Amino acid sequence: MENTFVLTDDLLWDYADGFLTGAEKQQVEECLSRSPEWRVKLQLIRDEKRELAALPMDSPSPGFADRVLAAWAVERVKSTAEAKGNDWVIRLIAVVFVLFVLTPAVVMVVAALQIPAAEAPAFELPQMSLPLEQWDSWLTSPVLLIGLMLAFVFFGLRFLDKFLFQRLLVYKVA
Amino acid sequence: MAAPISDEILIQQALAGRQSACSMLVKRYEKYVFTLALRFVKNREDAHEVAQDCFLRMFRYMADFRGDCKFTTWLYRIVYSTSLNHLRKKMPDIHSLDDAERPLQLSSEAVPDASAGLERNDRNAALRRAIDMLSHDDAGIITLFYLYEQSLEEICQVMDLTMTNAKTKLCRARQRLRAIMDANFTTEFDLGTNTTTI
Repeated sequence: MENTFVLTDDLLWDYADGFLTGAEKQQVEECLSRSPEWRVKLQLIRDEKRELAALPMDSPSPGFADRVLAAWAVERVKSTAEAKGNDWVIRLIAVVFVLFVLTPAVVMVVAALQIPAAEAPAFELPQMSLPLEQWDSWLTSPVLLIGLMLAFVFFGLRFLDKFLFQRLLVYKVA
Repeated sequence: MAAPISDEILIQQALAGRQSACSMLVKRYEKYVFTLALRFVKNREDAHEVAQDCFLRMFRYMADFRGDCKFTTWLYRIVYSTSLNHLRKKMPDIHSLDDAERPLQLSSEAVPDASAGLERNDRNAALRRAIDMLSHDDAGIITLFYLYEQSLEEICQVMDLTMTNAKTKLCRARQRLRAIMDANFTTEFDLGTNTTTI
């Protein structure tokens, strides 16, 4: 049977790159063993591969690594600042939500629960009578005063923390 | 002499916030990243920008690196995608770094006066000039395979290709490189293009 195998430069490159297996590889090797011309070509390909592998790499300009690290430091500081800022805003929103939305809702629910089911009008709002005297006495209680003082200290410290953090940010970026 | 610290240890230290580990990683790979970026974007200024972006992305997503592949493969993938994004910004109609429809460019139009100032015996310089004249994708795949010695499987991961595609692209890139070498630097490289039948 006539052998129709044709050896080409591309096939020889594939052989040199180690892509060929089995019968194809065997046929290339057979061809190489018979033809000194192809052996020379294979040697040239191997030389070229060696030269490609030995090409010197390009260097970035001096100080590249320092610039990258500085950019990374700035990005980290910015992302931390943003995270802190978000954290502060989220807490503030949560406090406002609790104070102005949830508290009246809770009061209404509690007041509604105090009305006996039999007396509750079917489609009327519950008649609430808030104990005003108790609220008055609570306003003058030491608990509120201490609470206000603690809140003042807390917000003061948070402000100081933000202020110092901003100063540190400016210093690091500079 | 102490053995160099492995990439894995440096990554762990960098994730823990050690500045020295970050610095070592950048210094270890700056040439690799810059060279590959330069092959893709073909311009030193842009390559600096792309390389810096690559390292920033590397730090940003380092925690996501699970070690499924080699660290270098993961890093080169970042270089490839960052370069592609960079080129897309510059050339909005580009869809990939490959330009399969582009006719084989044998003239020295891409790099005017390709052989000017080139010493005839400087084969390295000739090869580099020829690689510069290749398309982004061709230059990238040649660099990854022959210079960085990435396997075909790794190139598939970097460039998001199938094995067949990667092989075809590599073969085509080689042919184009050969054609450019023959057309412009024939005295340095004089391989024939014969075939033989046994």
